[in-house]
Amino acid sequence: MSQFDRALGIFPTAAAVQARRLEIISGNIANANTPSYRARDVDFRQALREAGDDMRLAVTQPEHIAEPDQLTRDALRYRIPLAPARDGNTVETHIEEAAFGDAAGRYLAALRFSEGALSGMRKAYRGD
Amino acid sequence: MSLTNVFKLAGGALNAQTVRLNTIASNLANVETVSGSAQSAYRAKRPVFTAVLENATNELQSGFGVKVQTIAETRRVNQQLFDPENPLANQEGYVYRSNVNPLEEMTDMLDAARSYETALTTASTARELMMRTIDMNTK
Repeated sequence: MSQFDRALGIFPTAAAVQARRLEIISGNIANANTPSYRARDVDFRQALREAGDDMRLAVTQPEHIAEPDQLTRDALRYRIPLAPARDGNTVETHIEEAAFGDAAGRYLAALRFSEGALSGMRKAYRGD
Repeated sequence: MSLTNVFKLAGGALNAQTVRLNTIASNLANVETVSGSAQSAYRAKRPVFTAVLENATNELQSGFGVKVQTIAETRRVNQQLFDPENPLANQEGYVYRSNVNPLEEMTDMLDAARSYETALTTASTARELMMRTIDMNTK
């Protein structure tokens, strides 16, 4: 693992997962009028675990219990609708809009934290 | 990259909603259209959307886009109108009106406009996030 990766920590991975989430949610919004379409969202904890191996617990002692292998498990979940439509569509545009805003905000936050880490490193290299 | 896919998905949604608005315009334009037979009478048209995978082999790798599968005609009965003066009237003096319900079309139009707006907003948010990523500022 390079020095850069260590300095940036989890934030690039978090941003990637949020970008993925933005894509899934925009797919939901696009299909707001598609019959039988079921809205999906990313299980953030699961996706983050799948995205970065470093986030998983290491088994270094015989007493340690290995984390169940969840890489194959689906990080995408179907949203449970509050009021499903008669045509089987479970997209609720207001909820998707809120989720989209949430993901965008979190993406920006991850970006901001990465910026902070990079500017810290730059300061250290410059020595000023 | 996921953010570029948002543009594709939003673009597909804008396209689908435009088709929907077009059919609504066509329906509204033909509210007063009459015809000499039940077969040739105008029937309200509705686009049928379907979810499609944009550019992935696996549905877990990408969001679903939307596509207009077909444009279906409503099956509501066309009303008969007794109008013997009409040159299109049949031998009994009846014409067949279009089966468009203007109120239904107007509410559908509002819904289509809202969906269009939402898709546009997702695209512009994605654009903003992308620009912020490109301009990542490290002073």
